[in-house]
Amino acid sequence: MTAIAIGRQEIRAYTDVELIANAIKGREDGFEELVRRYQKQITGYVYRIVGDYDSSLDVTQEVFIKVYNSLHRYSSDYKFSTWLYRIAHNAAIDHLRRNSINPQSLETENEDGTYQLQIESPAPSPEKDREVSEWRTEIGQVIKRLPDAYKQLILLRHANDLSYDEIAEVTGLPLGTVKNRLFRAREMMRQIMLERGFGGI
Amino acid sequence: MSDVCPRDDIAAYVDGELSAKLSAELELHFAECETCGRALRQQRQFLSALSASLASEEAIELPEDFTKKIVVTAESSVTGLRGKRELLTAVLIFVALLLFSVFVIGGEYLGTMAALGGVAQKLMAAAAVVLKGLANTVSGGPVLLLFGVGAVGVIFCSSVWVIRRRNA
Repeated sequence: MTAIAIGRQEIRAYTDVELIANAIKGREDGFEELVRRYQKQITGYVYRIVGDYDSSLDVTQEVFIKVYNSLHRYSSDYKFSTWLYRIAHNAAIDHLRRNSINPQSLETENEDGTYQLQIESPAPSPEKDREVSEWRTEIGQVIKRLPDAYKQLILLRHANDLSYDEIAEVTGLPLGTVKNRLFRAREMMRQIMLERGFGGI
Repeated sequence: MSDVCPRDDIAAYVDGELSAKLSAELELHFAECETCGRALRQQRQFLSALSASLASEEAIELPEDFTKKIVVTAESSVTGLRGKRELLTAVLIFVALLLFSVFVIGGEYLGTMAALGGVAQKLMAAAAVVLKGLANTVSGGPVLLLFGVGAVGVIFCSSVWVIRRRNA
């Protein structure tokens, strides 16, 4: 085994906090390993929010540059991944605001703190009890059409497996709001699926 | 289902996000309340299908040189870690050069430098006298005071601005 290969193996065993310490000391491979570790998750999250592949690559790059420039401000009170998601979340939302051409950016919060779908749902299909694979495709479409405030929480929870506490930290929302919105978002999705003839799940 | 049924607690329960105490309370409630029991089953089914659906989505493909590109771009960005280290290097070089000039070439020219300093001091004193004369002809006290406070304010604000921009 070559020396470089051993080095790589070693650095893979480092914790996030050790890698950050290395990066601050000026070791470039510390930051590189952090990027390697999280780039897919972050690009995936940003892509689902932004909805465009090229933009999601740009935003992800912007996120990691921001992280690099503020590594010395990172506090190990939080998990590094939570901190990273928060930066990615804000960057994705900023991107949406800068390019607000989709009608969902016009969404407004109702008086009781709920959100509505802004796009008309297609007419429900008469067929019942569809195949599971079809259900999966359909649920993907429903997530895309959720109000942004709900979509972000659904993705953080179910695509990225963050806990309620971590989601609250990432989005800056109170824990109670996270819990309540996740519930409402899922109820909304379940209702839409029922209306579209996807019962039984 | 009554109004007191904790519907969003059911969601948190399914997610494993309720405290042990609240979970136990809710489990007692499920045993009694048929509507909540049904809501629990529906949410469980929905969530397992949702998780399966998101997990089955193909992971996003990144360009081959994506990591390298990010690392190189980050390291060439001017603020942050690299900027700080460069600033420190610059200060060290400056101090080293200053010491060098004083101790190595300074010995011989120190006298000349002192004389130059004296001339500069005299010039500054003269400038101060001229400024004071000017201020007296304008109308004295209040204007001069205003001018002084304004200048200090401008210097203070611009330093704060520069510091905040560096830290942003």
